Amino acid sequence: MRLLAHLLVAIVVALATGLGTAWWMLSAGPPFGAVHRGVWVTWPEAGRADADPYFRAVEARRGVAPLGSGEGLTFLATRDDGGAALDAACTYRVEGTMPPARLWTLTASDTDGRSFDNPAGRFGFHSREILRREDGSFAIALSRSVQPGNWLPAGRGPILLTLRLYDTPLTESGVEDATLPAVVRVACS
Amino acid sequence: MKRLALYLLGGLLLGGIIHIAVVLLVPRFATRDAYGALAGLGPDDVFHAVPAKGTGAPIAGLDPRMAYAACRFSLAERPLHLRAPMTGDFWSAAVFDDRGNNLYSLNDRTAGRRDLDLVVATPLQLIRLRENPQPALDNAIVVELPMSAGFILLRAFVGDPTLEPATRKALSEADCTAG
Repeated sequence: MRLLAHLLVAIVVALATGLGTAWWMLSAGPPFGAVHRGVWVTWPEAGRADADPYFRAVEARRGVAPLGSGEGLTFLATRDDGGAALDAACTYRVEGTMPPARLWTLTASDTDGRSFDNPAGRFGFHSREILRREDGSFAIALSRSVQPGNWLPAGRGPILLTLRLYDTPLTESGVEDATLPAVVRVACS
Repeated sequence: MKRLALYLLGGLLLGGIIHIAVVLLVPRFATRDAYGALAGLGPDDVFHAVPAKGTGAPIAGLDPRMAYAACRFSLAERPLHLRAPMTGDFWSAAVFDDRGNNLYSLNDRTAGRRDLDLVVATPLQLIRLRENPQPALDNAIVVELPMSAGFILLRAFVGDPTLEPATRKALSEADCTAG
């Protein structure tokens, strides 16, 4: 009887720790290999065949198909430069220059990656349509209300900014020296 | 008491094994993964347009500024031979296996040409191809991948909404059972 009780305890402990830690490590996002540049985060191993098992498991659960190393690199941002979560109740300025890439797109979505529906039909900017300053830098206004210049409509609730660099030398040289645009909070309503 | 501690330790060790097993098995049993979701678009061995926007998008996190087409294939019987006219602007292609691993990718610049002509073969199939060269594959990019089934995802840049019909037409002419 005592043996049975002990075995039961061991099995419960095994299931609780095994399933619990697995769920905990897979639910927050890929636990290893993230590279942070300012507010932006990327997983350089995303497009490689030798990505670690945690990364693969997270990707499979989310149902995503990451950009391959021969295609480009994806950066995500969910916070502003002050560390606060991006929210559609606020207006933000995404400002600076982009790392070298043949083409880039910057899109706003909810945290599951679904684009915000908006009457303007505008889900993001790409490198060829954006209005730039004389020095090549740019500023994008991320807001629910109409803004002059490069206006990126925000929807409702938390915001995920996705920057995709297509055909970029960063997939080979690494992202450590890359300079990415700042995300500055302008005002909140 | 000492015995209970021993069982607890054994439980923790077993928990570690369960943890590893769960992490390794998730890609095989995930129901929302990209490979499984693409089956909902239609039969295998045919390219289907993949919606990038809206709640019905089978693959999460696709770029809404791109047009997509995907084809599920199997290398069980023959190598994959893919032909697509593509567009003059940026495009790329990525080969995933059925667990969602990105095994190979290229873009229009690395392909060095405007259209895509790609052969994906297992190591054994590649040996056979070398023994019996086929003239139809002379200009194709041949990739050797140790996989049995998976999908290929084509993406083409749509710089402006007016260019979308032409891009979609090029993608709809993609063929993943070419000769």
